[in-house]
Amino acid sequence: MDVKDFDSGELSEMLAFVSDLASSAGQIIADAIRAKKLVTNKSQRDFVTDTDEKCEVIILDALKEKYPTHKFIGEEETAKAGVLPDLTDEPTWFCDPLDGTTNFVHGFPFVCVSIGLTLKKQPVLGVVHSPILEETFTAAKGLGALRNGSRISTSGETQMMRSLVITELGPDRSPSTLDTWMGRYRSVAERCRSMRGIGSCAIGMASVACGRADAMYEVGFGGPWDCVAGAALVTEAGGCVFDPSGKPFSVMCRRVACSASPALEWALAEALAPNSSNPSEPEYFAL
Amino acid sequence: MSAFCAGVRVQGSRPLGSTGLTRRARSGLSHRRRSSLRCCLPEESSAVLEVVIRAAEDAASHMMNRVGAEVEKTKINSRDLLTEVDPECQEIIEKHMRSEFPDHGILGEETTPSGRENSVNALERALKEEWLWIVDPIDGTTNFVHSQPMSAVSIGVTYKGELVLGVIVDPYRSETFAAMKGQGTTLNGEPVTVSNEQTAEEALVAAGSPTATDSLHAVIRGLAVMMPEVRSMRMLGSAAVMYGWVACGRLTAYWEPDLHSWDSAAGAILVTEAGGRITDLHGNDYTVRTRSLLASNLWTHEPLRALLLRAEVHNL
Repeated sequence: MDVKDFDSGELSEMLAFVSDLASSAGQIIADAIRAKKLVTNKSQRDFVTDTDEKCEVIILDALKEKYPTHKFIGEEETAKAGVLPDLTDEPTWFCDPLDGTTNFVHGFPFVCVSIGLTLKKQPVLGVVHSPILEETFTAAKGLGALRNGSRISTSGETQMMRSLVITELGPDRSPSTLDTWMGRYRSVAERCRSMRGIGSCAIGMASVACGRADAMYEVGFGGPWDCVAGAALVTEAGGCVFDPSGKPFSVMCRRVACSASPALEWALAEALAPNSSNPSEPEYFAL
Repeated sequence: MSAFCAGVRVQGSRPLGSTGLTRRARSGLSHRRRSSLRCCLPEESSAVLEVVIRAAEDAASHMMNRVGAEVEKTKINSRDLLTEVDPECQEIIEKHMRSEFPDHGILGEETTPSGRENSVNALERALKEEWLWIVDPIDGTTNFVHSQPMSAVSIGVTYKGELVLGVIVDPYRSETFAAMKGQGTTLNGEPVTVSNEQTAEEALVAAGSPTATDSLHAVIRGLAVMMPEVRSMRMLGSAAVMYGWVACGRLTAYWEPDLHSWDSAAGAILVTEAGGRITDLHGNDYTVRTRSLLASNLWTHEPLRALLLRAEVHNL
């Protein structure tokens, strides 16, 4: 059975609903970051906080009630099941109630709520709400991308040498992953204007969408919930979203790259090519 | 001994109360109290600080209104950018200084020929001034050009060659960081201290994104050695902001292989007055001549410094 596309009215309504949820969750984050936080260890470098859990409850309960036929893929359920569910063509929500938990525990301002929706396995809607930096990025298919209500677009930059590139270090610290990461970093840093690292995949992608950075790449982040909203933002802002290997973006792989222009996509993929993968990182697979 | 100096040494008059501070921050403060006993701040220091804050905030407003300015030219290489706004901001600061303290000297990025050697020589000449303002009118010019809201005005002031106060203004987050020797560090008037991480493994460490090729390679060496040992790394592209965030505890530490005096003067005093530590990579206390450096929350200083030495980040 063919899954029906959403019309622009439906997308606008979903966007408004989700923006409100993101804002409520954002308030919890902002309040907590100013107070002492309770942290429980999940693994050596990835932390679950009780704020994360509170925000997830707010967002998921409301979404599940409003859209009972939609699917949901999120961090906590995936952790409990031990495996990522398969992605179908059905509308599927990807929520990261607190992207940037390391930043959060340090009071480092780059934290956000990231809520994205796929349809037919493609991102069609995204909200990235950054409560400390007081910015909300929204996008829906055919409706463009906005920052605090104003239209945004990528920088359009085509030259690597004039580009600001964002990348992040994921939770994996195995020697082979670190070697590959350093190889990529060296290769891109030698070709671009400057490198940045802020610790939030979603905010990094939003930065490309609004033209503050020209490209971004990350391999091995926590889960697809980190990049679906960002992918919708960049696409609607006129940019390119792709796999760091240069192949088409595939939502569930935990690998993403984005750029201000097709020319920069090509240049970035070329720079990343010699270090495109290693066995301890998530592999590319088409959906 | 002036009444002002006596005031600096009196425990009760400190802006940071002893309650609510961690044991570690208090230890840092004790270290500073001992240092302040050896220094005597000139009487006009508070007046200078007020003017420096006004000058920095004025320049920062102008900077924010001009964000995304075009690159006018490049300096040492194609990564080293200059816009017309950089000298405009420096001029705003100089006007404030000349109007209130006409006998003070200024060392600013925009009036110093580019390159490492020129910077070092200009600093040596400038340090002959009794009072010297060491100014970076837009720290984070690359961010500024890209409309990345992460740049700041940085002004450090020396008296007879010693750093006595520093101000960093980040207009995007409306944050003014200020510190005066022996008085602690404030953020928008409220006292702040460095963070509490005890080990490298808990540390959130910032690194630079330098323009010079040898510095870039030094950063790459440093990243490779640090990454397996620390919680995570960040690169924000503005030394001033990274120093401010170490001082107020958002970052554990920040290091660079080679910075000019105007990049670090204010940041260095912000960090030390907040209970942190800043040294060269051999562990010598920071002076305005220090170019390779590590600023930290004190507790993680030695383990992080050992990593940077291992990576030979200092050999420039």
